[in-house]
Amino acid sequence: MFLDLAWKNICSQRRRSLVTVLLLLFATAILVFSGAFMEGSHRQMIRSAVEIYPSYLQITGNGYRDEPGVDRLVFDLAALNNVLNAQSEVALATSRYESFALLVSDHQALGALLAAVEPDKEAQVSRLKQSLIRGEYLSNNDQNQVYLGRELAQRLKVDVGSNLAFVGSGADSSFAADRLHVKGIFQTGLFDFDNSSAFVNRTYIEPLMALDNTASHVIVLPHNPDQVQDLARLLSQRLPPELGLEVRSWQETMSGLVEAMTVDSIFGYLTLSVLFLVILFVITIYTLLAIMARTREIGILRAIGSSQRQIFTLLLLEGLILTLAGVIPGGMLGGAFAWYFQENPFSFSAWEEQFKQYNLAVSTLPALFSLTQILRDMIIMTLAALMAMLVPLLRVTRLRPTEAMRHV
Amino acid sequence: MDAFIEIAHLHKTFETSREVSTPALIDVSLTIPHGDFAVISGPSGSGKTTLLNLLGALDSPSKGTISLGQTMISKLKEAELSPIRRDRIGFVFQTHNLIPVLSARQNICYVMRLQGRSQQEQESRVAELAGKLDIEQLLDKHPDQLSGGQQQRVAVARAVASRPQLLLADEPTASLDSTNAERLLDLLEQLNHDEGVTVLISSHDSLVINRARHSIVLRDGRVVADHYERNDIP
Amino acid sequence: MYKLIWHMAWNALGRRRGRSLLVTLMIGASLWGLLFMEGIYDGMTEQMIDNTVKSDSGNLSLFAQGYRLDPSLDRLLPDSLLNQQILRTNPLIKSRSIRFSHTGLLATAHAARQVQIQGVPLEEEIVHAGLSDKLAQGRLHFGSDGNGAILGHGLAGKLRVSIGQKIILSAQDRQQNINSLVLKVNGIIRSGNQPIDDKILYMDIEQCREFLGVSQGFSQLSLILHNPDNTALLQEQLLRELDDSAIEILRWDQLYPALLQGRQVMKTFNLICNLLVFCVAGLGVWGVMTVSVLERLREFGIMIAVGTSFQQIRAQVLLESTLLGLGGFILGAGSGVATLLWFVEHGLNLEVFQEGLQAFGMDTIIYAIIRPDYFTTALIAILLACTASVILPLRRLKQARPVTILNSQ
Ligand SMILES: Nc1ncnc2c1ncn2[C@@H]1O[C@H](COP(=O)(O)OP(=O)(O)OP(=O)(O)O)[C@@H](O)[C@H]1O
Ligand SMILES: [Mg+2]
Repeated sequence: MFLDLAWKNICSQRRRSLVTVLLLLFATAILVFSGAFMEGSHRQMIRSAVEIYPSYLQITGNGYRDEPGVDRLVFDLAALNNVLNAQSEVALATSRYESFALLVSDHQALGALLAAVEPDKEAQVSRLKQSLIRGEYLSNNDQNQVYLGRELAQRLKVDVGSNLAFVGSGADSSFAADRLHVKGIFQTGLFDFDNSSAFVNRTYIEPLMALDNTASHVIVLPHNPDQVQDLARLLSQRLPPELGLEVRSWQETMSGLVEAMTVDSIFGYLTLSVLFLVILFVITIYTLLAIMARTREIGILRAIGSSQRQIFTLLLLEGLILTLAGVIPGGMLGGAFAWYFQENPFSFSAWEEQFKQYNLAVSTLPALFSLTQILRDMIIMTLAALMAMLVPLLRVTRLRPTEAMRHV
Repeated sequence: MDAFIEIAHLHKTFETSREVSTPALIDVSLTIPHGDFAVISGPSGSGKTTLLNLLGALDSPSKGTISLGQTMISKLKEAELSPIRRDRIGFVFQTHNLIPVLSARQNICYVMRLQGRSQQEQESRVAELAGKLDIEQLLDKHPDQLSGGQQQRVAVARAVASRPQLLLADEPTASLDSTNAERLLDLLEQLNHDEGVTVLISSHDSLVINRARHSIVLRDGRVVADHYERNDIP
Repeated sequence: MYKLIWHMAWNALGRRRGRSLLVTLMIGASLWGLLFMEGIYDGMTEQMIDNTVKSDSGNLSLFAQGYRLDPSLDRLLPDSLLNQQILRTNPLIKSRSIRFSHTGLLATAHAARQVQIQGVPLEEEIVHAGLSDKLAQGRLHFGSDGNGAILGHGLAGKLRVSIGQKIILSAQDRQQNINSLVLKVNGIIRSGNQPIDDKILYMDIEQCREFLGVSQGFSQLSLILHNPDNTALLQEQLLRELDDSAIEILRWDQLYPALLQGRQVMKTFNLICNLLVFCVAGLGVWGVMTVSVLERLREFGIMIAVGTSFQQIRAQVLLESTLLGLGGFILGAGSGVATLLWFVEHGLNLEVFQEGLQAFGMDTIIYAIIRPDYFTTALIAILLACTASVILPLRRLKQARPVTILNSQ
């Protein structure tokens, strides 16, 4: 009975129905899609930032991250590797030794990160190998070969085949220096990184820098990157405390970036809320107009014996039908867009420079299709719309029948 | 006879739908002299309202002409008609005559304000009419605070306040009891007499018809009678 | 006549007070939201630009030709440049500072980092870059022996150095020798410009030249103007007067195109927001005006019957919607200005997101900006929306004959 009556009223007040439905459709679609796009693009930015070099999970000596120094290294690499190899969740582990050294070419001397890596394993945990633009990537047998960032090579005025020297210090704080031969040049797109990083094969530099069984970082690649935080917790427990190590997931090592993305989302939603504020106002206004046009009718309904409660239910039912008629297709539309742009990411080649300035090496931004997010947004929109309708609704149901009937 | 209104071969047909058309007035020709007090009567649906609307330039005829004084109003455009309605014609409808947002006084002044009359002139005219129509107590009330008869009196005051040459009243007594109807008619006669306004009333109320000096009877859109009572041709 | 129209419109609005209030509130609230957003976002953008202009690019920067592609110690501007009439007495210039830059390696006992050495005349740089506001720890002083250094906040953090600590700076001098120098950390600054904060080491320019084996000259002359709008004008003047085969003269937006792009993106974004919000708000006004015209058809019919012209009725309806719009504008602009003024004064404190904001080159306290064009844009948009919203109802009124209007209920 109610449903029938509600439906008739919706049809008879076409302007209100149409405006309400369309606005909600539009608002829901925008909310769903913006949410999906923000989430997707942020993940992409973080992922590329994580995967270029820092990687998902780092193990360092206690306190190394806060205060890097040769007294806070991983001093028993073999023991650590034994533990890691026994974990089924760990796909791969590789060591790095990072130090800062002066690179000296015929023209220039520049300070830079000089990192010793295990080339084959490193290729699997970071994008170092993929980022090659000239020459060759390192191999496990290399001697005196260096793999340079493009901007650093430019500043040093060297290219593949050129000679360099490095001056640095070893894990025992001893002086270390040798000649290097440029084997390859890489470009990750992260300006800072490309401008200040050089890589060498670990086995080559081990004796020079006294790296015997030590490393500054051990990078762990989990089987499932989504569970990296759990794995970090697990490893923290399983690593023998006498090794003096700490485990950090990318969420911790990249907390600045993660926070930056949160800030971006907050401002994004803040902006949307201004739009939603006015949309909800319009819905309130149209509900008010529709109900005012029917005040007489409502008075008559009351006069012939309907209770306040029944009329309230009737009007709320109408509102709910309209809301769902807008929110459901809106959610589907937004979801469809989210799906499409997940499969076909936006290309922002024109903005690449701007992203790089914030150390984000991305040129395409995908959306993220997530059913829970879409449902969450639809529920939020439904509740907000019903709230917007509540004020005029309460006002009219509170009128006394005679007042309502006299209304013209 | 000094003709004021000349209606010649007037037709009005309503296109109700594509196939059906209702002829509301058929070949109506009439002459109304200055200062006339005419009543148009006839059964319901005979075309009285249609005729008054055409005379009041609220609608345009399908065929035929209407002239008001020297002006052929049936030929004018909408923009040219508003000043004619404003300055030369006063209208009283059957019900809901007044502008709801304005008080009785403001309703009466409305047309004078449109005409750009001075504040003083407006005030004295309102005072004069309020006295005649016995509505002094009602001037500051809003239409929804007035009874049907009170509204009708205010409507008459508004209709004549701008000193029109022609007063059109469409069933003005329909919503009134006989005492009030008599008083309203007294008033109209008085205005007709004092201010020389030509009065044209439509009605099927015998009370009104009996007061007519000039009686016009319509039936099915045609004029079936058009004569002066008591031989007092003005 | 105007008084009459005004009177009628005002009465009509007053008669449906709830509705009129709701529309006014809607326009006011959306305008408030927009103003707040624009003010804060522009504040952020301008803060980023300001940080960069002050800490690095100036409004204009002069470099030796080729220095930017190849920043070597051989490509310096001569000290004599500073004596050029146009640079000394130009009324457009508010402040100037010279910088002598080079890369090096900064080491503590535990760690080493790449640094950007910036030799500056401290007094000038303090004024020019507004360093007093940026000081995070310590003092702005190079010490009586000139061996003090001021570090960027990010750099100090990475090296874990604190005030008073000794640090070793190494770099290759002009003669290709690698020199080292012990400096003492006297101050730490937070410029808001991340590349600077992560890399910069300020030291005394004389000390720096000596360290790098250079007797005179500098790498960059940064100029800040009284009025940034004159930047292009001054650039032209300088290009005319100075020998541009030896000197490169670049505006901040040429040095940091991404910042300018960011500002333009923000402008477009604000415009789209305005458009979207006021289109929706217009929809609200339209609904109210349509209903209010339709339910007054009889009233308009009477008015027409007694001689009111359509133009007058149009003027009245238009005035009604404009009054609603203006009411909303006054409400929104008033509350918006009040809110923004508060944030202009006190700033929006986002310390919780410090790390994230710094990644964007922003400070943790964002000071809002108020620009007159927020209000003109909004006013135009509101008036357009209100005008557009009565077109349809008025058209319906115009097309009908008076008698039809009178008889419709
Ligand atoms: N707008 C209209 N559309 C169609 N037909 C109409 C319209 N107005 C009037 N008519 C028809 O024209 C004829 C004359 O109507 P009119 O209103 O003039 O009669 P009336 O004499 O005033 O009747 P009443 O005494 O009931 O008021 C009627 O048949 C009516 O149905
Ligand atoms: Mg009639």
